[in-house]
Amino acid sequence: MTRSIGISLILASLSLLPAATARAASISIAFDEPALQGLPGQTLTFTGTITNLEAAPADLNGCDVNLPGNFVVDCTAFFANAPLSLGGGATSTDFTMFTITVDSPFPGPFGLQSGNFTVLGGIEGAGGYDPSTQNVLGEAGFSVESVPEPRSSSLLALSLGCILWMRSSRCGLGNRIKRITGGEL
Amino acid sequence: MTRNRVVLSLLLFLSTGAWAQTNPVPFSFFGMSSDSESLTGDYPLNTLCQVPGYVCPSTGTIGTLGHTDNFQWAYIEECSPANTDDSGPCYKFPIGTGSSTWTGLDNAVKAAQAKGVAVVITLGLTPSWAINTRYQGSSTYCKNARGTLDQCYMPPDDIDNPGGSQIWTTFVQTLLAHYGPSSPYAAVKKYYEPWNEASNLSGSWYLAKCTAAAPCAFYSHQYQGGVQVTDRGASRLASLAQILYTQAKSGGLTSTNKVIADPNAIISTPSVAGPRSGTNTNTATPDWLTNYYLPAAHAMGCSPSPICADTVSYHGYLNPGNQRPWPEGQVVSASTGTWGPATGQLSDVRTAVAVYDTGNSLPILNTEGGWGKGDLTSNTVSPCNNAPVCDTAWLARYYILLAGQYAPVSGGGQGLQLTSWYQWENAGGSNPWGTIKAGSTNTSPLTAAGVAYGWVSKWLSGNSVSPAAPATNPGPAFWQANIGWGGNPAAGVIIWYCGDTGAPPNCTWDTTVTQTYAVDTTQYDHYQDLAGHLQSISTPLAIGMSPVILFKGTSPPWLLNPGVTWPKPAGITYNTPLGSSQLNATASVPGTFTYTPPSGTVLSAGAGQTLSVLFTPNDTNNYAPTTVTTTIDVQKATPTVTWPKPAPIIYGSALGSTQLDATANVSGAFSYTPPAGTVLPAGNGQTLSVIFTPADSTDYTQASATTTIDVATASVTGPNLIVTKTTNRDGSGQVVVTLTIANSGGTPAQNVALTAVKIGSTAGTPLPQALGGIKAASSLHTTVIFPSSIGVSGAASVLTVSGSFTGGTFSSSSRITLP
Repeated sequence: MTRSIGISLILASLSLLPAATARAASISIAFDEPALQGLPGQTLTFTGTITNLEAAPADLNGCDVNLPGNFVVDCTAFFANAPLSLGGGATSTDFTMFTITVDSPFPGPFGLQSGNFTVLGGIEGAGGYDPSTQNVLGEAGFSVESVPEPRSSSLLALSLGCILWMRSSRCGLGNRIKRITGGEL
Repeated sequence: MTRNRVVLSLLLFLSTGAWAQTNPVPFSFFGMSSDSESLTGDYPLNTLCQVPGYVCPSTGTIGTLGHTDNFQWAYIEECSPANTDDSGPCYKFPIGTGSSTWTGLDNAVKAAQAKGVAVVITLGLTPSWAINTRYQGSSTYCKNARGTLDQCYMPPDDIDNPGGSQIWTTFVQTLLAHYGPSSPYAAVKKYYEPWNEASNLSGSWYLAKCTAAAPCAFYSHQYQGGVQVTDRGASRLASLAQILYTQAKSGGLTSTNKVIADPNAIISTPSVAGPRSGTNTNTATPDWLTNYYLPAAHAMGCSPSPICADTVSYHGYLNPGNQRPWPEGQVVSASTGTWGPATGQLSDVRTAVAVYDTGNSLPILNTEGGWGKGDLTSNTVSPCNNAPVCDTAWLARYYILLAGQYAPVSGGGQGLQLTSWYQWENAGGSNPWGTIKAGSTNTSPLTAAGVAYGWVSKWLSGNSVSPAAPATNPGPAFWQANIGWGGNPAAGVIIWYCGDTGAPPNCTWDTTVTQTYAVDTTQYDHYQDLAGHLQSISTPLAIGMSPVILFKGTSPPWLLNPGVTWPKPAGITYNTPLGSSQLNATASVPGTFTYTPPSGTVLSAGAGQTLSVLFTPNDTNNYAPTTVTTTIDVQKATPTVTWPKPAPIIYGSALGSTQLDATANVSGAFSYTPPAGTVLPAGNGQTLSVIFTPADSTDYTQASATTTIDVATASVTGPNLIVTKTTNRDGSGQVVVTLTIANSGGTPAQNVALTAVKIGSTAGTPLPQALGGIKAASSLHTTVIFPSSIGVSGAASVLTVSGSFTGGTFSSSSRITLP
């Protein structure tokens, strides 16, 4: 897969992600880059801002990250960076919300995965700040494209080329292997 | 009693009282002396009716109307010598000056006649024209009344005439005839006393002022300071009594053909006053009486009474200066003699009279009595200074003790037929005695003692009264008298606290002392005090120096039932102020209702709460203030719980304070179903309910409310796990985290597993946990335990959760506060 093809897939997948401001949401989440690409073992950091859509302060009490595929998701960074409470109509400064680490080795298949980020908390009432509320304040979709190491990509490309070639003219390498092992690949 | 005057007093009786088997005390036992210069008409008869509870003469009683100056012999006979007839308002006598009138005395007798009661007329104080010229105009022997030195302590100058004093004879003939069978007052019963306080050295019957230059021609006492003297005073007084008695019983016609003998005239002895044992300055009552009746001293020669009397008069004062005893007590004074008990004083009279009245049949009249000068309240030396209750208690105890002696000797009493309080309206005067009115006018209000006079007369009148004595129950420090009616000799009992068991007792003057009496409410369940308040008995009953009467029911014979009714009001709900719908007692007579608790009171919730009302009738003469109780049930109020519908939430949200935010109009606790932390499934109109438990569980019930909430459906197509939690500690202090893992995605999450759950950096157990699949829009719960050492309650931390599902991973972090 070429890089241009990957970007096209990311853009296509983002069109299928839930809107950054989900239905009945009280906040909107805006990633600086909603789609990131990573090599096996690489940690991707999602940053962005949160805007409180309500008139009352929003207490940002929790987060959830879901991502299909072979990744390690972690939103503990949310607490190190997100404000405890966001005033009515206010937008936070840009901060790190969560990280995605691509498994290494990556069992594959490489490619694009769409995930979901949820912020829990509550809109303050008469009682003021309340760290215990766990309402879904808002959700935002993101995507991660896992890509192989560059050398691996070359081998992969060679292998794919060989396979195509062998189907047409018997690949020498294949023959050599066959000869060495005495069996079918 | 030490007054230097001749007293003409009026005693008004309804009757002499029948010696019924149970000897009920008649209303006529209760007398009232009057000393008014303005006595006109039926005053104080009508005024006496103002006494709450007092039954006016139309049905009962009137007492002594004792007078200092206005109605004495000298008052009547101050006529010009030129006037020689008795047809006018002035009784004329051969010697005398000035003008005189019957008007005042006539008014009193007319009043008695109108009320159907009797009078006592006390003679005394000789007009100055009638005494020896040696003493006329001398302030030593005479005092001022209506003229100058016109009232004298001496006898008529012709006292030693062989046939007796003609001056006195003419006077008593005229007096008897004036109110006798030929007069408009023929039907009035009249008691006559020939002299007032004849034993009084400094008063009516002169002795002490004799000197060599002015030798005594007229002595009253055979004993002076316990030493017998030789004089003829007593015999001369007996001569006056003999003339009065003889004329009343067998007198003929006056010069104007008026009938003298009066079948309605009852002759009493000269009244005697003094201590029970005397001193050099005070002649003892028994000494004087014995001397008066000594056969060797005189020969009275009356028939049928050998002592020229139908009744015996004494004055029952207990007033040795400011050291007054309680009526059942005694004071022994070196200067004034021995005073009290009241019943002992009466017993002395009976014993002395028994020299001639061997059958003890002569009725005794206490024609003046009381604590004496002033009042106990204002007396600066009295141990009961500034405490009106002492006046009240003293008066009541005095009457209770003496009414217990109403029965004849053969019936256990002393045959006392009258006790006349001295006196009615002298408060504010220069010489007040036994004050029971707070002023000197006809309409002056009564003192508490005056009110007590009315009530104690009601308690005793018409009922048998046992001699008061130390109580067997609750004990001898209490005194009691049984009051009988309706065939029950103890239908009521009057009881008071004395505080001493001596004989006689030295009762306490401490107005604050009370003792409790565990009344047998099966026998007595109500009591009345000397203010007339009728109360139900709640034992133990606190009793002090003021007597109260105990009885069964609310209708003792002396009270008319004011007919107070108060049905149990309908129940109310807490927070409903008491008002006219509840405080709605009624009575059959006009009066005032005073409720406890008052209108506007908010009662606590509870069944059978007592409401009471004091009904004070306008007519307190005949109806008692009555307390009636009822009960009311106050239901608990239901709190108002308000719970607007919460804003919609997104699936995966845990219910929290934003949704579970019901309020109530009172403080209390809310218990929600489902509870906080619950993740509801997606869907609209899901029911939330709450039970509210008020902090004031006494007055409020639990309340409940419901609302609905809309939970928006998931918007993610694949699995999307949202983790929420609740935390608490178990019995060992471990922190138990209950995780709710909701799949808000559009497809199932297979093989969900928890791989890491931490609070801060501390991992919980057990881990990992395989949780199975979670369908779309479904959730499951699991728990993870953390050691108690994780932190103290209230500490802030972060809970992180990591897990996986087939084809993906999830992570959750949230702020927590350690439970």
